[in-house]
Amino acid sequence: MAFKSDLDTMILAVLRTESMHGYEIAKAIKQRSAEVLKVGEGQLYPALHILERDGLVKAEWEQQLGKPAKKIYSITEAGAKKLAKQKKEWDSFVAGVGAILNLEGGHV
Amino acid sequence: MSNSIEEYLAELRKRLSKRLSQSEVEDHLAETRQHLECASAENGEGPEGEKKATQAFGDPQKLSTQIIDAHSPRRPWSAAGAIACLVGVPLSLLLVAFLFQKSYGMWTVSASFIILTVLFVCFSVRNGSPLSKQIAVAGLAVGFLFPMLECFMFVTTMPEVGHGLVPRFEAKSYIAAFNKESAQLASIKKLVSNARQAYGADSKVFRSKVQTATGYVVPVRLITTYLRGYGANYSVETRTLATFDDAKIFWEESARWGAFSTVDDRAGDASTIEDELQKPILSEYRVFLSDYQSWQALAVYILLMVVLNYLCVSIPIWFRRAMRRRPIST
Repeated sequence: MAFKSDLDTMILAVLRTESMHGYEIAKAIKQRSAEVLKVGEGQLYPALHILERDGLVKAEWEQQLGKPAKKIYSITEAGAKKLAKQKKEWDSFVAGVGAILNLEGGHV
Repeated sequence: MSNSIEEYLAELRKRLSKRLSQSEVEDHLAETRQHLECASAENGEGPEGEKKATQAFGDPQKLSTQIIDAHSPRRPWSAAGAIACLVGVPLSLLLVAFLFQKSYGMWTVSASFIILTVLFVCFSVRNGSPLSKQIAVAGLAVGFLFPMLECFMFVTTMPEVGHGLVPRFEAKSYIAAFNKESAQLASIKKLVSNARQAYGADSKVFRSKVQTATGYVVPVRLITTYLRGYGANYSVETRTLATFDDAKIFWEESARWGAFSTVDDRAGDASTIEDELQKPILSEYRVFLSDYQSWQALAVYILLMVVLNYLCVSIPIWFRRAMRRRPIST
């Protein structure tokens, strides 16, 4: 099935609970959506960099012993505000669509 | 598509290094390597695991375009430059139309800028645009400088008084003053002309035009009061005599010492209406204004320039923000 959604919002939602690196973010989206949503893994990084440029997430390189450094992303205050706004819009959208489907189909 | 992580990264490096800085490329490759190694470890070590990881990561060609979009300052610069031109050129045209209605040369220049803008937009919206940062800056300069020049000309010149350092807003009050003075001089000239016809040519038609309730009016001399700043007030000193014959005698006497009869009759350098009407009043104003009002013109010019350039920059930014939405698919 083709599914379109807002990648930025999903990244922010995943980062709300904890800081993660890119691969963990991709995995978290997949797992939390019960594998319904899969992020095109390569697409994730351009999106993360734009969020970073806009100040919605911040990134830090974390050195690891004997391994390459990891870039860890965390949500900023501006990102949290944006997420709250997006969530509100999404809730009202879902409520609206749900009401229409109930009305037309009798049951959903 | 490349199979191993190293091949994949080499392919990505080749594409990215054409457009991004060295440090941006290295950062992105380090992050990609980290991702691919994690995915590969999860898929199972070895070539098979690496192949799955690179396939899941995406086609390097498509991906490099997305990364360049996100990283490179080139595309935002290009878009901002293109839209700045797009905003700037119509504004330029409006100003040009307002300023130089009959100047075909300026229309030609404007048309050239439109063509340039269209080409600029076409290049900038093309995927993998060949535009360099320098060309984008040149586009911005075109978008900004032309309206700026026109703003300057709008403020500092006025077609009614010719082109020079006469601020437009000041020139308006200066033209109003000129019109007021012209009207004053015209009404005085009419009064003198009526008197000349009535007393000098003995025209009965004009006799009623110099007659008032108290008698017959005879213009005696022109009074010029120079105002503080610039300009002058013109009035006429008159005498009213009870009978027409007295008034006629008075007019003829005045003519002998050269007040308001004719130019030929005037004595010495006495100021006559004809003299005053010959004065190049506008030229006097212009010389006077150019000395002391230019700083005001400059202030208005800077204000206009700031507003215009703010619009040129902010509109493309708003536009880009509004358009930034990325879909994902399963």
